[in-house]
Amino acid sequence: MTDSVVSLKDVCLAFNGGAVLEGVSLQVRRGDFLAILGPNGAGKTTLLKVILGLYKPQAGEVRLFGVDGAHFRERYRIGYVPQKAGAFGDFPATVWEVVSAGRIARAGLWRRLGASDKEEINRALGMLGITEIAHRPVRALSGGQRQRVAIARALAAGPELLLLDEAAEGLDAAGEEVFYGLLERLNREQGVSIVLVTHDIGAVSRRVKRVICLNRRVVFAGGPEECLENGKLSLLYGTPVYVPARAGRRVQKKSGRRR
Amino acid sequence: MDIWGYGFFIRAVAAGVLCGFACPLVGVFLVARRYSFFADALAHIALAGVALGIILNLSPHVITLLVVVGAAFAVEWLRQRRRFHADALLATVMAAGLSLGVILVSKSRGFGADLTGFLFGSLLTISPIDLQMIALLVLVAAGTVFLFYKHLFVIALDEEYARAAGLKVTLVNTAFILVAALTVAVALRAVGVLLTGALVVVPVLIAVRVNRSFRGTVATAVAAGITLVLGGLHVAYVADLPPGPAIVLLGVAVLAVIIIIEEFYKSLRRA
Repeated sequence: MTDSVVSLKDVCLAFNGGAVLEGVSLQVRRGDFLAILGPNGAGKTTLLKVILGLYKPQAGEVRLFGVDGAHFRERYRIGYVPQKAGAFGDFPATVWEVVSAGRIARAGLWRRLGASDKEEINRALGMLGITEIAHRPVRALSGGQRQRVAIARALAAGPELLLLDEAAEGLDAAGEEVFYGLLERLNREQGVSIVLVTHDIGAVSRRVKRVICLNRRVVFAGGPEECLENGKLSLLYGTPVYVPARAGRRVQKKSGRRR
Repeated sequence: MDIWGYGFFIRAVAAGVLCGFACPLVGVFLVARRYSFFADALAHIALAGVALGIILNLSPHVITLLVVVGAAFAVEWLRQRRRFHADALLATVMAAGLSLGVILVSKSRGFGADLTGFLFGSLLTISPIDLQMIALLVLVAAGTVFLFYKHLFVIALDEEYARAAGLKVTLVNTAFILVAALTVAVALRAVGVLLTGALVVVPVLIAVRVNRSFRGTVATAVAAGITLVLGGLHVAYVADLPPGPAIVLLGVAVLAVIIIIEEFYKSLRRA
């Protein structure tokens, strides 16, 4: 069994003639906990979508679990929490129904959801602490609660790799703590590999094992301590960036102001 | 003689119930995907199919079916590949379809009094063969929706997520577009070009107001569709009204009553 979960080699992608990814190479190994940092428009979300097979790169190689990305069929092995994942619209659907969507994808076209699927759905609800609201309509929930629902949907499939695109957006401080604690547990206890797109420097400094700084190409790859020192972030964002003294703060992009 | 003793009325009721069942079943997924005008756009294009059938001296129903199915796939292709905003695309298609239909109607002979039937439906003139055709189309449409129900739900919730999760979105979407086109073709006989969109959407809007779950919404929308058709036919018979508009207006009236009750309860809670 290969140890490589994601392998990108010299991936290039352009939209309407504008380069979004230029020769991006990266490796995600089993049990990795990786954060991707970068300014807006750096290609972070696009990179995740390339891994998910939503965008086809114009050049380069994508391998997932050792298989060529174009021929990778076991997509349920990759859990995905999109940006603004909680925007489910206002059509009626209960929390349980939405979370079951993750399991439906795993079950495939012809298999009905069985007892083990329902167990996994309930387990995902429990992990996010939303069992009690399982039968409430999603449209009646707060933004933070909806975000938890989206994360539970990704977990219901029992993924080996979890891709999260600014997934802590909309969570309050307690919710963030639960969220990052859950990611750490999944990573440590179940060996789930995690790729987290974030602007949360506090989380990067305290939680992840590796950081990739992206600005259309990989600007830096290494440990979080190295990433946060010697003005690397200022270089990445093209403006002075102050790493917050306290954890949990966001990247400050404007020079001369601290939050 | 009692109205139920007339074959034409029994066929009208049977065809109406089939339409009342199929339209909201498809409508739930269209409304959830914010694609409500899809049925309306196809129905407007259908007028061109009807006129084309008359000009070519072929069965208008068969030509309409072919035109609607072809248009459905063309619209979906434009939405997927050319990245049009769905609402703008459907508004354009609707206007183009109606314009083409009117031009073809003006060039064809033999429309005469039938035009009203095509525009507003002609349940009372449905023949036994028509009814068999409608039953077959509804069976295919309902069977496809039940077969792909779970996947249609996931796609309706979030199409990009469905693709990322490895669902066969293109296959399911293709099947659904075909089903939507068949349903529109069926509904044209019941409520006509101008009211088909309403029979697809209004029962769903009623169901959305009173449900918490997706499954409940589907069940309520179908029940509402059938009830509205039966109620509308009854109103049409009692008040001597055209059945298509009676069905749609009854649906809109029910929706209005639900919204008024909701607002009343809201104001009570605020007080």
